[in-house]
Amino acid sequence: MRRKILYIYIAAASLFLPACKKFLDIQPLNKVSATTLLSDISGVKVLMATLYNKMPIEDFSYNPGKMFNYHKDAGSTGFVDLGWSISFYTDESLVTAGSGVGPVNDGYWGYDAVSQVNQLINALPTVTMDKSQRDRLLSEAHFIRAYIYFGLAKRYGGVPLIDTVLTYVAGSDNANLYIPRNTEKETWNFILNECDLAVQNLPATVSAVDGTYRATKWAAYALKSRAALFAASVAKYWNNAPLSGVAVDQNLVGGMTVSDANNYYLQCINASKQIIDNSGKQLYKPSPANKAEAAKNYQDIFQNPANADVEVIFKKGYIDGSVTRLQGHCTDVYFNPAQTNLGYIAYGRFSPALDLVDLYEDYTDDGTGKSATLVTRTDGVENDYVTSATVMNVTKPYKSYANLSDIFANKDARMSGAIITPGSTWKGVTIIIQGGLIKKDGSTLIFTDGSETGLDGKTYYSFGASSTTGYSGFRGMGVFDNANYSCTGFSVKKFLQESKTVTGVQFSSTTDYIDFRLAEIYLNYAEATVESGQGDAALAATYLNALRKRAAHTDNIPGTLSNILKERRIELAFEGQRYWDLVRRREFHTLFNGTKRKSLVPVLDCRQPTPNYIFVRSYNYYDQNAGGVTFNPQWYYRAIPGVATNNLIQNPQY
Amino acid sequence: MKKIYYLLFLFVYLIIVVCSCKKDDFPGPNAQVFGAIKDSLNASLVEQDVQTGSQIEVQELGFPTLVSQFWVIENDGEYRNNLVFSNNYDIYMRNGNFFPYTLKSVTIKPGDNNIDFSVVPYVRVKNCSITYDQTNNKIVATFSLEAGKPTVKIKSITLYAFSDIYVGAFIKFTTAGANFSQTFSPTVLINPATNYTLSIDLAANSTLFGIHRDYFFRVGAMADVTGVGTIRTNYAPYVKIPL
Repeated sequence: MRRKILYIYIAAASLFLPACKKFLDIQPLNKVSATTLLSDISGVKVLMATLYNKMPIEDFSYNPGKMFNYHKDAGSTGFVDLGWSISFYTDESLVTAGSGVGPVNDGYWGYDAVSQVNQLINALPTVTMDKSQRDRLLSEAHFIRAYIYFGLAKRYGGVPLIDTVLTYVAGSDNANLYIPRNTEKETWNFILNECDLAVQNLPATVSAVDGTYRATKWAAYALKSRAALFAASVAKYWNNAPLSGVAVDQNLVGGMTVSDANNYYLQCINASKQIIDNSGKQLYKPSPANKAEAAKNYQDIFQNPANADVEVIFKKGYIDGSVTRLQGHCTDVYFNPAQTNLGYIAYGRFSPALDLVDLYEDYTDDGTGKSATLVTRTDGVENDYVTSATVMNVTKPYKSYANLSDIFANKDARMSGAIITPGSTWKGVTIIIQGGLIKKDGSTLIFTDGSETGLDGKTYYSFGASSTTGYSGFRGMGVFDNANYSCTGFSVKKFLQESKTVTGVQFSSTTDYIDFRLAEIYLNYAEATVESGQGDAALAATYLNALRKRAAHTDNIPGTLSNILKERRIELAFEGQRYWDLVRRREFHTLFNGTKRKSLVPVLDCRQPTPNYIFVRSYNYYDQNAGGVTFNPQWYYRAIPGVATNNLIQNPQY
Repeated sequence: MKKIYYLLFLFVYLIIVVCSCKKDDFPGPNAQVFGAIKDSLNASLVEQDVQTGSQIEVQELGFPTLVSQFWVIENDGEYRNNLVFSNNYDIYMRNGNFFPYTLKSVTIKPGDNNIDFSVVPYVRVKNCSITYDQTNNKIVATFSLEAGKPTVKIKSITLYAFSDIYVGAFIKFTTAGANFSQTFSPTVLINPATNYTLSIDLAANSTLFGIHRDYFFRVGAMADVTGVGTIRTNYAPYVKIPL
């Protein structure tokens, strides 16, 4: 008996023995070591391709609340995290299910990619290849490293600048791995210098196979133009939202002077000018015959970016993610309006705000470039917003329109190129966006199903059609899963495929994402010139007006700062620029201070012999319910991740 | 016999499992800290925003990397934190509505700690009166301003309204009309002799004030001071008005 007990104890003790085996020290068989990978040119190219994918490009697969390259498969019923845009965080648009305004919260901390770039740069001299190839790869690595650090700097300010391979030594205190943060100024200088190193040996043109997907020297100049403008703006406008704390005391954020601002503006001007003068890039179809052609041309840039390579400097491509896992994007599936939805359970999720629609010019073209606010009233009052269209006052002097689309008749071509407006035609379908109706007796039926027999004896429906497949607006607000109908009165057109068939499943979109195009460079040049008094102001105005002419305008407007900034909002709408423009110019916290974005609610007035449409200006349903949205100044910099272990100094107010 | 084996097996199994359980016997927070933000001039409470307002930034000493905690301050300027570890702390009073300063190595002992902070507010909203003008159907606020230091300028003044006591720059109705706020651009030095009047037209905001109930109003002043970080609004105490 005692022997058996002994055996049992021995058996039990043996359970602990496997823990003594150093199985973690075995080299994995499904991975290639860095030494092996970087031993020849093909391995280097594999790593380079991986690094391209690790660049923090805020493209169609970027979820600002989650991460880059977000490809979570939501399955057949989930869709919460997908179909997202950084545009929803601004006054350009809302996600149809409602969203507040806040900071990007993607947790980006790209030091894994920095480490790989550093290993690549370290290994390049030892790999057998000809010099020109090596030089090009080296410059390409600098371009990627600049891009990564730009992604870090605009989120965190000054960050640790690591440009060598760090080695972990087992058993030591590894003090060499604790790299402190550099100042914000040093970080911007590093990024701009990396761009210069990238420019040195990147080619002016790449092979047809690579297209504009692979970096050229113009892509490096474009990155420099964008980054320098960002740095200059922060330097100039820091005092609009000053912060205090240890990070400020040590200049890890802020700490730049007017002289720094002017230096960065000049670098932006010079980089932009290099592209404009020497790249051969031009605006895509710069002289349209008419407004309709201009709208079509503008839409085509984003629908078929490959055809617009004359303007596109750098873009990101996709393969069909419904066929190949972790590829593709969901733009068409999630953003088509309800009437043309592709068959997935969620759609119509992109609702452009009235704030942007009002901003577009019309074709008065009187040389002022003033916005043409939509005319909804006969008394000229266009700043009267109701908290909800359900409480509208039917006795107010609303202007009647015979057709849904009439109110938008003379607006800038880029509006119809970027936004699906009520009554417009999309994929051969007239898009009906209607919030309700006024009954014959003057009572209203708003945001709810119902119908009314008009004075003409016909039946009219509150949402514009009897069937849920017959309209695209205002149904299901407040219910996240059902919010597939525009909550602002508009739907997005930019980036969507109108004629090409896209499968109605997640990740089925393959439309290229344009990261840099000449239009942005024009606007960067113009802004830097006007802000700093450097560069050629007349040329800045010329570029500004070239963009307007491409939109079929016929006049020239002055190159003032306000005109340039407005043009930027219009030309680059939904392209991810607005969020960072508000950050770098420190305008976010004043623009969003208990602010409610706005909607336009078309209402059918059945009191008329033939019902006409009126348009009610309303605060957006979700922003109204939230009591307005606010951007806190501390969000201009995000919290440095992991300060308890990486010993970095935290940003202010975190 | 089998029973013995089972018991032995169970015994060994429990030994293995129980060994992995270690009681978390770290002590919990043992100190309570409370007090108020007081004006150094007259020890009156300095009004705050409970949401996105001034905060007390503290760092517990004794760790290799110091991490900030932020203690929220009530609207009236009082604060309380009942879950604090007794230790030495650095306290940073910054990014608020008063001139910043730092308290180094403050000892927080076990039990109650009453710590008041004597501060210089950027702006004092003085002689504030908020009343309901029945004749014109308006809420009217009259007040004057006093600068905390002679260099302080004023950026804007606003009469805020809301349905509870937390009324302020972040918790407010979006009121319509022109006279509930005044912006100074460029910012100007504060003249204590100037009397200001702001008003909210109730007829123009009928959807906000449509229900008969108590409403709360507070006058806020936003200062313009350089080199102090984020500036929060200074207030007079709220006034409750039944409408």
